Order: sequence, then C-alpha cells, then structure tokens
Amino acid sequence: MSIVVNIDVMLAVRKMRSNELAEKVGITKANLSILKTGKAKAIRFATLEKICAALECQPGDILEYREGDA
Amino acid sequence: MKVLLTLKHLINFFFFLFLVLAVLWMIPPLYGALGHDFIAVIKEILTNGAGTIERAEGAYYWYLLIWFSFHIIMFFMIIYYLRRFVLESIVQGAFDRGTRKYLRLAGILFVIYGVVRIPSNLIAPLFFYWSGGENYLSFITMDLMGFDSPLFMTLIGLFFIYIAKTLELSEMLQEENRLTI
Repeated sequence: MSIVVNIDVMLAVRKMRSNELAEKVGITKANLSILKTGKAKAIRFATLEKICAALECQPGDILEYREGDA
Repeated sequence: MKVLLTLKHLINFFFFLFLVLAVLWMIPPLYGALGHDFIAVIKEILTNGAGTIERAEGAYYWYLLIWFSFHIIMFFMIIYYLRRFVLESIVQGAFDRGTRKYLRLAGILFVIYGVVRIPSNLIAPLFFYWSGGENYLSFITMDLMGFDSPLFMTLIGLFFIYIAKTLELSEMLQEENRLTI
C-alpha cells in the first residue's frame, strides 16, 4: 500500500514500548501489530486521535504517502 | 389514523392475495368435476389430459390467468423467504467458503438446465402438435409454470448464484472490518 504507517519511528522517538502504547490507546497488541506491519485496511479517526494523544504527535508524523509503493 | 405501509404489511397483503388465489385456483376444476359424472371426468383427464374440462366449461382463460398468477406469486414468495432465511444465516455465520462454492456450482447447473430446457420445451409441443396431439397449448403452459419447470429452475439457479455472490461480499466486508483498527 502507498500509505506507510510510521508508528515504529514515533515509538523510538518517544522511547515508548508497543505494549504501553496499546494499553494507552485501548487496542490489543495484535491489532497494533497489524497497524505497524501495514496489514490494516483502514484506521478509525478515534484510534488515530488516541495514538496522536499518546505519542504527542500529529497524524502526519504517523502516516506517510509514498508514491509507487503497492 | 396514520397508516404506515411497511414491508410487513406488503407481505401480509401478498399472503392474503395468495390465499384468495389459492381458493380461486381450485374453483374451475371443482366446478368442472361437479358438473359431470366424477368417474367420467377422471377417465377423461386420464385419456385426454388436464385442461380438457376447463376448456369444455368455457372457463379455460380464467383458469389460466389465475393459474399463472398463482405460480408467479408463489415463485417470488418462495425466493423472497429463502432469501430472508439465507441472509439471516449469513448474519449468524452459518456458511463457510465450501458452501459458497457449492452454491455457485449448483446455481450454474440449474441455470444451464433451465436455459437448455426452455427452448426445447417450446419446440417440443410443435412436434406434439404435428404428430396429431390436441392439447399442445396446455402442454406449453403446464410445462413452463410448474415448480419443476425450467423457468423456476432458472430463477432458483440465479438465486443461488446471487447468494454465493452475497456470501463473497459479506466475507470481504468481514475481512475489511477485521482489519480496521
């Protein structure tokens, strides 16, 4: 998919663990893994809002559009 | 009083219509049978086929009209209720991928059967007529409108294919829903 999820980068910047983020956002570790590996088909605004709040960042810091990636 | 026409009312209406037609449907043959010696009527039907009595009583067209309406309504009612039942089963998760494949295969076979039989049923009465038969018209109508007829088989086949496609769509949506975080 041309949309790349950069949660890993933000987690590293904030020095936060995946488990901690999953707990803060209120999603399962399995779902966070789906999101991180780019297998997710869609993301809810509510989830995005919670992730942004937990990582203290903007949606643009997490999501990136890369041309040509399919 | 405010009256809301819902699907439920519409179904009830068709049920009522169906009941009325079901009763009316029985009148011409009964009338024909009561007007004659019963044994003679049975013998006549066995010898010359159904449809002779109605024609003799002059109620043949009325009989055909009711008969066609009855079957068309029954076809659509059966498919409507089957559809509701199957959609409810999809919601309950009763079907797997194998069922979907079998449904599509059965649907395709039914449609092929119907499509092949419709023209052959239209051509067959001509041979029947040329060979000296008298009831060729009634032969056409009887054969196309029965529940084992190609028309109904084709409808059922198309219905099966539709259900298989709905199952495929539902599976796709479920997968999409599962991968929405």
